Amino acid sequence: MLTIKNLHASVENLNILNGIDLEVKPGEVHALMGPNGSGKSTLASVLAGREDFEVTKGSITYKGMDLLELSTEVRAREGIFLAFQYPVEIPGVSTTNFLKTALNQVRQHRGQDPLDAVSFLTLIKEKMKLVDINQALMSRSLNEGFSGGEKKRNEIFQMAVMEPKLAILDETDSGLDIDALKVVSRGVNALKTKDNAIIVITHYQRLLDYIVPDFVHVLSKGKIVKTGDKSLALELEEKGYDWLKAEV
Amino acid sequence: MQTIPLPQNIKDEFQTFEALLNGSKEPPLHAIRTQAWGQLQELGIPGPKSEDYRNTPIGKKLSNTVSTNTKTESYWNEKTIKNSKGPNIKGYKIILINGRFDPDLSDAIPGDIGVEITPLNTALGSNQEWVEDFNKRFKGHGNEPFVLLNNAFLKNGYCLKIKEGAQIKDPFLIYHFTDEGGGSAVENCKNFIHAGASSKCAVFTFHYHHGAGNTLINYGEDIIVEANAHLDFLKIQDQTEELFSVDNTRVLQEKDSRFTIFTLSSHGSMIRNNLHIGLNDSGIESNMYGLYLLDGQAHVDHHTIVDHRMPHSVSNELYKGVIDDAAHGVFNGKIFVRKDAQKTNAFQSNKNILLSDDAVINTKPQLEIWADDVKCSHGCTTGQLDEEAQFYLQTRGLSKKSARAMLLFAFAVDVLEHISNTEVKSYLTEIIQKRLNPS
Repeated sequence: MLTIKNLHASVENLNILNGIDLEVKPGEVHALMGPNGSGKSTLASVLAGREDFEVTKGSITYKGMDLLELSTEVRAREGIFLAFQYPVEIPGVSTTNFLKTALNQVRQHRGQDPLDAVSFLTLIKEKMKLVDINQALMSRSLNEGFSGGEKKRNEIFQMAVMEPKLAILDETDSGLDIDALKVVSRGVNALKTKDNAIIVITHYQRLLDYIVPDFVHVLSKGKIVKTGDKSLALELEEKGYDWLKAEV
Repeated sequence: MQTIPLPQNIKDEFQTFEALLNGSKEPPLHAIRTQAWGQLQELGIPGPKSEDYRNTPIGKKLSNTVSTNTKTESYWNEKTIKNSKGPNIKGYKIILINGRFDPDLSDAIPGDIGVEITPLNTALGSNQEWVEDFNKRFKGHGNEPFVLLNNAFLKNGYCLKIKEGAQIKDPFLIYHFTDEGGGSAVENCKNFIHAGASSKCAVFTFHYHHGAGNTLINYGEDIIVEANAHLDFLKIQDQTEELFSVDNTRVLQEKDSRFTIFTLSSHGSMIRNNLHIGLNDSGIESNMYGLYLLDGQAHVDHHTIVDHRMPHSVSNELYKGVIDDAAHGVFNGKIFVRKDAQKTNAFQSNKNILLSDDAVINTKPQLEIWADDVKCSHGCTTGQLDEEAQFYLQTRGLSKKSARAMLLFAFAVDVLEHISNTEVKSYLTEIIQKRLNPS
C-alpha cells in the first residue's frame, strides 16, 4: 500500500528526514516512536502533503501512485487521513458543516453520488457513537473551546466518517487521560479492517496497550534505527532511548 | 481640515439648481440651503492634505469631475428595475430613482400602521417645519463639507416618520437606483428618518448604481431615534460596481433608545461612508456593524464617530473586511467619551484579511476619553488567510479553493450575527457566499 524509499526532507534548508525506508501493507498497524525532533511528525506532514516541507531525495509510492505528485486534497480523497497532533481551531466553521462538503468532494472523486442531508446525518450519528462525542460539539466552531480530549476524539470521529485506507495518528494520545485514551483507542480499533492500515506516532508505550502494533519503528535523527514487534516498545519504555543510541 | 475651494462646476450647478426651484424657494427651507451653501463656500471641500480624507481623496476626484449636463434618459425604468433582481424580502418597498421618490413603483403604505413616508421633493411644503426642526437638532453635529453640500441641494429624498409607539413588524425596503444620465458633477439625496418615542422599526436600504463613476452621488441620512425607540438600519452597497459616492449618516439617540446599523459594501470605485452617532442621554445602546468585501480596484472607506455625551450608555462596533487584488479599504473609528459620560461601555473592533500583495487597508482607532470611570476597548487586526486551517481542511479532502472560500465565509458571516430579520440575513448570507466563492 505504502512504500517509502530513502526519503529525505527538509524545512527551510534544515534536513529533518535523512533516508527513511518503510513498507506498510493493508491490515497492518505500524507504530513510530522516537525522541523529540527525530522526524516523526515531519514524516506525517510529508505524507499528508504539507507544503512547508521539501522532499529532496527518495520516493513515496501509495497504491501504485507517486504520492508526492498528488495535492493534499487528492491524497485525502485517495484515502490518506492525518489525525493532527494539534487540531486547528477554526472560528465559524463547524465540524458537520465542513465534513459534509469534504465528504461529498471525496465521494465525487471516487465516482459516488453526493450524500443528501438525511443520509449524511444518519452517517454522522452512527460515527459519533463510536467515539462517544457530543452532538452539540459538532455544530460548534471547530475545536474552539474544545478540551484536549474533545479535540482528539473529534479527529477520530472525522477519521470514522472519512473511512481512510491509510490513517496517520500523530500523537493522538498526548494530553489524554486514561479514560479518553481508551475511548479514542476503541474508536481506532473499531475502524481497523484487513484492507486499511494505520501508522501511530507516539511517545508513550501506553497507547500501544490499546492499539496493538504489528511493527514498532524507532526514529532517530531522521532515520529508522530499529524495527521490531510490540515488545520493542516495552523495552524502550523500560530503558529509554539512550539505550538505542548506545546500540546504534 | 485642510480644504480646497469649491470647484466651479459645482458652483454652476448650484446656480442652475436654484434657478429651477422657482416657487419652492421660500423660507425656512430655502434658508437651510442658502446657509449651507454659504458655509460650504467658506469651508471648501477636503483637500489632498486633509487628515480625514488622506486615504480617500474625494475632493481631488470631485475637482476633476466634469459637468457634461448631457441629460440623457435615466437608465432606470420599470423594466430595468424589475430586472435588477432585488431580494425577496417581505416588507414595504420604496423606490427612489436618482433620489426622486417614485410613488407608482413603490408600495402604498397602509394608513393604519403608524408610519408615513413622503417624498422630500413634492411634499416640501408640509415637511418644511419638520425638516427645519431636524436641522436645528443636528446643529453642530458633524458639519462635514459633504453634509453641507447635501443641505445646499436639499430637494431629493424622503421623509420617514414613525409615530410614537408604532411597532412596525415588516421592514421598509428602500431601493436607491442611481445613474449618471444627468451628467452633473454631483447628485444629491437627503433622507430624514424620525423614530418616535417607544416605536420599533427596521429600514433596509439597497443601492443600485449604473454608470462609470463620473458623478458624485452624495447621500445624506439624518436619523433621530427618540426615547425608548428601536431602529434597525441596513445599508447594502452591493450593486454598485463603479459608484463614486459619499454617504453621510448622522444619528441622534435619546434616552434608552437602541440603534443598530449594518453596512455591507462589496463594490465601488470610491465610496466614503461617514457615520456619526450622538448619544444624547443615558441607557442608550448603539450598534455599528460593517462588512466590506473588496476586489479589483474597489475603494471603500468607513469613517465612524460615536459620541458618548451622557452616562450609562453602551456602544458596540465591529467592522470586518476581506480585500483582494488592488482594492483599498479604510476604517477609522472615533470614540468620544465626554466628561459627563461616566460608566460608558464602548467597544470597537476592526478585523481584516488581505488576500493579495497589492491589497491595502488603512485602519485607525481613535479614542478620546474625558470621563474617568468608563470601559472602552478597541482592537484591530490585519492578516492573511490562516494557512494552517486551510491545510487542515485540505487534509479532509476539500479543494484548496473550497477551503479558502469556507474560511473567508466563516470570517465574514460572523458580522451578520446581530441581524434579527431572517429573510434579509439569508439574502446577505447568499451575497457573501457568492462573493467569496465565485464558481
